[in-house]
Amino acid sequence: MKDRQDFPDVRTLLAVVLAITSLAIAINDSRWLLLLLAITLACLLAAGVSLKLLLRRLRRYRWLFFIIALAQSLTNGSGRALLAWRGYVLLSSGGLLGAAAALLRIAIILAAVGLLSLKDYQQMVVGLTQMGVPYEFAFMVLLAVRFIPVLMVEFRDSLAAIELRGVDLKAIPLKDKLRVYSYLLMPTTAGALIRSRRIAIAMEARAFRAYPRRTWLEWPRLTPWDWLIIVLALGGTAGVLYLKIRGVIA
Amino acid sequence: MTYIQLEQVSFSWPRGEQVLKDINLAMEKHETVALMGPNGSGKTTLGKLIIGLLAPSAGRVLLWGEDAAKYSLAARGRRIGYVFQNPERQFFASTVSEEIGFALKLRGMSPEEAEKRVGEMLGLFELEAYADTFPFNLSQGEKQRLALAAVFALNPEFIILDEPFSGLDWLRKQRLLAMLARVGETGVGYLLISHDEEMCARLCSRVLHLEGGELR
Repeated sequence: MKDRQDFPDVRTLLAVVLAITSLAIAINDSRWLLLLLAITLACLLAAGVSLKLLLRRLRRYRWLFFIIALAQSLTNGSGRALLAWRGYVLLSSGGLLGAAAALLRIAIILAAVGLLSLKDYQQMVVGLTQMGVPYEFAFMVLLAVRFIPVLMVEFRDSLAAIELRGVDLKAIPLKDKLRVYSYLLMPTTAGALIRSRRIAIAMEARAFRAYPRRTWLEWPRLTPWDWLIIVLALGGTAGVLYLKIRGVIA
Repeated sequence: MTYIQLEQVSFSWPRGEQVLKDINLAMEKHETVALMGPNGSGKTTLGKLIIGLLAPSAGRVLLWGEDAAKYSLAARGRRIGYVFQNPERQFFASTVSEEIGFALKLRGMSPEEAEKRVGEMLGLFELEAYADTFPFNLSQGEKQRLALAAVFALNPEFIILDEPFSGLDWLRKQRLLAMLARVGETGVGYLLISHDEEMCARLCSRVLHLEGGELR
């Protein structure tokens, strides 16, 4: 029997994240996106996710936010011209709204993915398996995701190692710079391959896939609350998408 | 002018854990200094502060009489070599020869000169047989030698070696000892970060002990 404290289930969270991110991509109206962001933040607060931590994570993407907003405002010339130079519209009211929508969209997606931080790696594997994803596939995908920060650290270390050999990356010509960056892929790829080989050996040594059936320490069941949230999230998304198709929502 | 100087240097991780406390240290260019201490005493952190991989939380590091903060990693790397605790961390080429010659070409050496220098290093560090080998496929001892060769090829004035003896058997340690002694004889100073008391005593003119983040 599933413990009450496991609520919400991984499948419930995945359904909510799927609903929110789908809506964030489908909707273009900034007011609706603002409402969706508010709902996402309310979900995070209700689930007990630290908004402070989330803000810190969002801060890391501030350059991405800025570049996307800038690109949107420069390429979307619809609406009233707010800033023009020699007849070319640099900033328009449509561009400004487009930039706001893009910013809101990224914020919603990143915040929604924050919901998944409620579950650990093992719980995610169980949840995905319960949804019908083959165990090996779920395990490998999550293992790969877990290694992304490690690979980033290795990439940074290799860059530092090159600089420590007295190579000033800012000062060398572009051709050499490209060569150096292509070099950096080597240790990162080799490190990943070596690590995967070690993990594969360790897993086999612990009888991974040795038998056709697995024994699970925990096999969570959905509570009525989980079902209610899943139905509301997916049903609500279907409803909003229907309204969008009908042209009620932009 | 002191070659490397640390003035009241402290270091804490962003979460507040203090690793080093008020370190004062001076090293001359040709000095061979050993830094010893138990695990977690801050030896590697001290080495990284000198080379610039970390920045002090308080105090300052002086290189060649000037505040080190003004020097980039590359500027420090041109004069001071750094051998990582895990040598794999510093490899990025697909063969041993390329690993040694990589920075030489980027630093303006002609291909002929670079080739000659690579040959010398392969000989000095007994790596001729592995010239075309993928660095990640070498044994631990060979990796240590390659890391040293790649750094030594650049003619550094001083080298920081982080745990070069770790994972080596007695014979390999003796070989590395002989090589480091050869390095010392060429007038290149070094800071040897190690647990190995015997090696430190044999190789270094001065032995420092770090304990609980403080020099004793």
